[in-house]
Amino acid sequence: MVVRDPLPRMPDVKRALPAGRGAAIARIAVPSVAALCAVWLGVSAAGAADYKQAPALDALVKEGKLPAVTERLPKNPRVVTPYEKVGTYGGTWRSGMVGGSDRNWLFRIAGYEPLLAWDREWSGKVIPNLAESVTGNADATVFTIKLREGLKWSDGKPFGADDLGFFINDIAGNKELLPNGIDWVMSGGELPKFAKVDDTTFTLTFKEPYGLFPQRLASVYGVQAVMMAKHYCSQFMPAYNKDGVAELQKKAGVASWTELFIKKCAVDTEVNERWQNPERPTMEPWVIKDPYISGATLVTLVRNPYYFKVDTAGQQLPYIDDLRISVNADKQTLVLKVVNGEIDYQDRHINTNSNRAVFADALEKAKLKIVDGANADMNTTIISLNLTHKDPVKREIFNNKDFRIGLSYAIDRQAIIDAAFVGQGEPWQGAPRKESPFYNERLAKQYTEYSVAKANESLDKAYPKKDSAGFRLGPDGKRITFNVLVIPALGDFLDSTQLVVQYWQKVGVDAKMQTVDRGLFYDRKDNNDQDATVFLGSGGMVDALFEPTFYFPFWNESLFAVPWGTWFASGGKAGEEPPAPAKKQMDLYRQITRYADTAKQAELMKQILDIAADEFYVIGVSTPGGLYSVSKKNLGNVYPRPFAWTYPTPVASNTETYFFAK
Amino acid sequence: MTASSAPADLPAPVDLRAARRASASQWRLMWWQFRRHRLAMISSVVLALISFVAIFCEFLAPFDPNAFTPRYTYAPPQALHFFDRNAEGGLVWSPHVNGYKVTIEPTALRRVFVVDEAQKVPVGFFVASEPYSMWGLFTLETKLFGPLNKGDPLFLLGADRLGRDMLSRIIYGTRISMSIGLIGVMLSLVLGLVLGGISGYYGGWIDNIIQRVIEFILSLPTTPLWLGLAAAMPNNWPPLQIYLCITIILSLIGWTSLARVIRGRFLSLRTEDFVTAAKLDGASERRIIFRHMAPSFVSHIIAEVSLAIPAMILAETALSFLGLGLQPPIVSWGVLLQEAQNIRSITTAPWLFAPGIAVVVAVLSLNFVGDGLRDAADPYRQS
Repeated sequence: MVVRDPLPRMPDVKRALPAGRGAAIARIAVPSVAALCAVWLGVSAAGAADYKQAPALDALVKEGKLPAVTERLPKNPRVVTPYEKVGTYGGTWRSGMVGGSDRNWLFRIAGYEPLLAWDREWSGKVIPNLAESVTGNADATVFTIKLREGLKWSDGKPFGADDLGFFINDIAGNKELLPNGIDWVMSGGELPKFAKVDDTTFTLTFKEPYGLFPQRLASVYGVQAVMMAKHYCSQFMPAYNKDGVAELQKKAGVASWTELFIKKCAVDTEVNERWQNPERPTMEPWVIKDPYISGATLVTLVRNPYYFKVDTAGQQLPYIDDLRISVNADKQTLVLKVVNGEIDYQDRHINTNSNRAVFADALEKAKLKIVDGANADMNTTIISLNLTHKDPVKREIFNNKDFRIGLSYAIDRQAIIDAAFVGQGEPWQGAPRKESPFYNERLAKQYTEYSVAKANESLDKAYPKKDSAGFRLGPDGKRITFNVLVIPALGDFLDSTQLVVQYWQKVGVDAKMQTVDRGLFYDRKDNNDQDATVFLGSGGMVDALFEPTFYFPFWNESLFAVPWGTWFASGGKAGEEPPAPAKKQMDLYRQITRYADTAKQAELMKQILDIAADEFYVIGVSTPGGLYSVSKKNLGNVYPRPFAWTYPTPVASNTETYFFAK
Repeated sequence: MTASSAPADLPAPVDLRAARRASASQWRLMWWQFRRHRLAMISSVVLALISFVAIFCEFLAPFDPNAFTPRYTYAPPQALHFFDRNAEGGLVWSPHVNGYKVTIEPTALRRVFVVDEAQKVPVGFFVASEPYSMWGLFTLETKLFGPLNKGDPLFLLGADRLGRDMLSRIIYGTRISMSIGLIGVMLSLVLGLVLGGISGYYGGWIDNIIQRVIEFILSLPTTPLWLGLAAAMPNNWPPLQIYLCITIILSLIGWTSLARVIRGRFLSLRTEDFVTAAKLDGASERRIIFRHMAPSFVSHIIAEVSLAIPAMILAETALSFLGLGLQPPIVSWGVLLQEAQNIRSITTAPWLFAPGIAVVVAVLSLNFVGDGLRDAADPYRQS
C-alpha cells in the first residue's frame, strides 16, 4: 500500500495528522513562547513487500552477496514524491569540476543527507530525513530526536543514536581534534548534553535556548552530524583503539592521530578529505569509488545499496547508477564539454549570463535543455565601504551617511542592469528579495533612484569642497580617494563595479577599482586593511535568518565592518565594540536564536532590518536575474529550484530522483 | 672607330662609394646597412605609426575607452560606406555606417543586431565630442574622426560585452602596452650595462662582489616573490602605479642575465690587442670603453633589447593571471585579450580578438627592426 505523501503544504497541526492511514509519522514540534506552533509532517511507508530495487542489485541479491531490499531499507523509508514522475533505473550522470579543490560540487550533487532537510520548495520548512522527528521543549533547550528505525550505513552496519553520541561527545567535544568545538551545534558557547534513550532515540540538552536548531540541522552544516560512522571512525581514535592507532598512523604516513582521523573521516563537510576515502561509510545516495585526490582527472561515485529513500512506487532510490565527474583545468573546458554533449547536468561554473547564448545555440545539437531557477542571492553587487577603517579620516568619511547616500544616488542602476546583466534584475539595495518572508521595502528601495542632482546635494552636505580637478576634498583637506577591491574570478560583479566607479567619478568622488586575487582579498579583509569591497549579496531568501551578513555586523564576512562582526561572533572576546544601533541589532538577533516560532522570528527580523535601513550599511546595485542549469533533454525530475548555499543546489531538490527517460 | 674606350693616360676612376665608405662615421655606416634591410625599414614605419597612436591616443580614439552603451553589448563591427546614393540615384561622397535594429532573444538572453539600411550614421573628420583631457594637460572637444552627431553608434571594430567601442579600446591599449614594458626593459638595460661593464672591465674584488650579488638575486624564487610583492604593495595606490612599481622591481631582478653577458664580453675584449694598443696610446678609460669596446657588443645588446620588449608585452598577460599584472579598468592589449578568453567570444564575438592582431604586428615589427639593427651594428658581418 502506498500512501500519498502529504507534503508539502500542511499548515494546520490537526489536519496534518494523517490519522487512520497507519503511516509512520515524523514530526518536528518545537513549541515556542507564543503558541505551540508545531510543524507536523507525515511520511508514509510503502508496504514492505512492494519495494523494488535496481536491476544490478537484483543480481547481487540472487547471488547472495547482498541482503534483500526489505532488509536493507529502514522500517519506514523516506518516501520522496518525484517532481515530474516516477523514474526508471540506470544510466551515468556526467558532470564536471574545476581544479583540485572544487569539492563542494560533490557536496552539492550528492552530499546532503542531514537529520532534517529543507522542503524542495525551500519555503523555510524543515522535513524529516534521517530523523523521523525532532521535538523541542517549551523553551527550546531540550530536543528529542527520533531516528528512523533500521537505517544502515553504506557498508550495511546499523546507523543509530550511538553514532550521534559519538559525534557530539567524541568529535565535537574533543579538544585535541576541535579546540573550538563546532559552532553550529553549540548554544551559549557550549555543546549540548547527549543522552541516549534507546538505539534510535536520544535527547540533546542545550545550555541556552536554541530555537534555530532544527533549521541548523537542515542547513548544509547539519550534514556534519551524520557524516562519521562510529564503528568505522572510532578505530582512528586513541580513546577507542589505544593499541591500534599507532600502527594505522604509520600505515597512512601521518604524524598524529588527529591528522589520521581527518584523513580517514574528514570531520569537516567542506574539505577534500570527505571525498578521498572510499572506505568511509556514508548515508548518501552514491558512495565514492574513484576518490578526489590530487592529480585525479575523474572522480566516480556508485550507488549506495543501503540508501534509505524510496519513490512513491516503492522503488529504492537513487535511479541513476553512478556518477562520473571530470576534473577540468578551467571553466571554459567545462563549457565546451557541455556544448559537445559530454555533460548530463551542470550548473556550477558555467551558468553565467554570457554563456547562455553559447548553450542556446547548442540546444539542438547536444540535446540539451536549460532549466531556469530563482536566485536566492539578493544582490549582484554589494559595495561595502569599510566603516571600521584604520585610518581615522577615511573612517570618518565612510561613516558619514550623507556621503553614502550621495554615492548611492549617483549610480544609474538601470543602465548597469542593461549593460552588465542583459536587462535581468531590478535596482536594489542590500535587502532580502521580494519573495522572502523578510522583504522590507524601505531597506530594498531607498536611495536607488538615479539622480545626479540628489547625489550632489547629498555629497555637498557632507564634503562640498573640491580640488582643481573637480574631486571632493575630505575633512583633512585632501582629496577623497579610495580603492574598491574586487575578485575578478567570482561572479559578474567585475563589470558592474567598473561602471559604478565611473559614476562616482562623475560626482567628484575619486574611487578606483582594484582587482585582486581571492586569497589577497581575504587577507586584506581579515586584517581590516581594505577601503571598500565588492561581493555578492547572499541571504536573499529565508537564509537571511541564518546569515544576515549584510544586515548587521554578524561575522567576519560582514565586509562593511569586519571587526564589529568579529566582536559579535566571538561574543565580545575579539574585534571591536560596535556602536549602539548595531548592538541593538545583535541583541535582537540573540533573541531570534532563542525562539522557534517563525512569526516571532519574523517580527524580530523586521526590527533588525528596520535598523539596517536607518543605518544604510552597504550600497547595493541590483537583484540578480534567475540562474539556470543545463542538462540533457531526457534527464527527468530536474526541479527549477532556487540557487543557494544554505539550501545546497541542486542536491536539496532530490538529485536521487533524477533519471534518464528512454 | 671612335674613341669609345677610356684614354689610357687618364687616372684610374676613383671608387667614390668606397671613398665615402672609408670616410663615413660608424653611425652613418649603420644607417646605410640598415636601409638595405627592407623588412626592417617597413617595420620602423609601422613602429613609428604605433608610437604616434600611443602618443595621441586621446585624440585618435573616437570614444572614451570606458564609455559603455547598454543597448549595444556585443555589437558586431559596422561596415564603413564612403558613398551614398542621392535622390537621382547618383553616387555622392558621404561617409557613413548603417545603424542597428536591436532585439533581445529571450532564451539566449542576448541582443540580436540586424543592419538597418534606413538608419544612416554620418561619419566625419574633426568632429565634436564630449570634452576630454589631452595628456592630462588641457581639455579638448574634438576627435580626429567619429559620428557627426554626438552619441550615434559607431563601432568600426565592434563592441565588447558592455557595449564599449573596441577600436577606441585598442587605441588606448597601445599607450599602456607600448610604454610600461619599455620602462622595465630600459631599467634592466642600464643596470645590466653599468654593473656588468664595471664587473668585467675592472675585475678583482668589485667583480667578485657584483657576481655574488647576481647569484643571490638569481637564487630567489620568482613566484613567491611576486606573491609577496602583491601583498606588500600599499593598497591605496592606483592600479597603474602598482603595476609600474612591479615592473620596476622585476627589472631590478631581471638585469642579472644581461650583466653576466656584458661582463663576459668585457673580459674577453679587455685582453684584445686593439684595446691594449689604445691603452698604450694613453686613451682615457671612457674612450676605450665607448669608442673601442662598445661597438663590438652593441649588436648583442640590441638583439637582447629587441627581444626583451616583446617578451615584456607578453609577460604583462602572464602577470595578470596572478592578479599582479594590469587589470581592468586599465586598458592594455593584454587586458583586452584576457577579457576575450572565453568560449562566448570565440563562438559569437570573434572581433574581440582584434587586439591580438595589434600584438602580433607590434611584436613582429619590433623583432624585424631589432634584426635590422643588429645586422647594421655588427662590424664583423660582411654583406
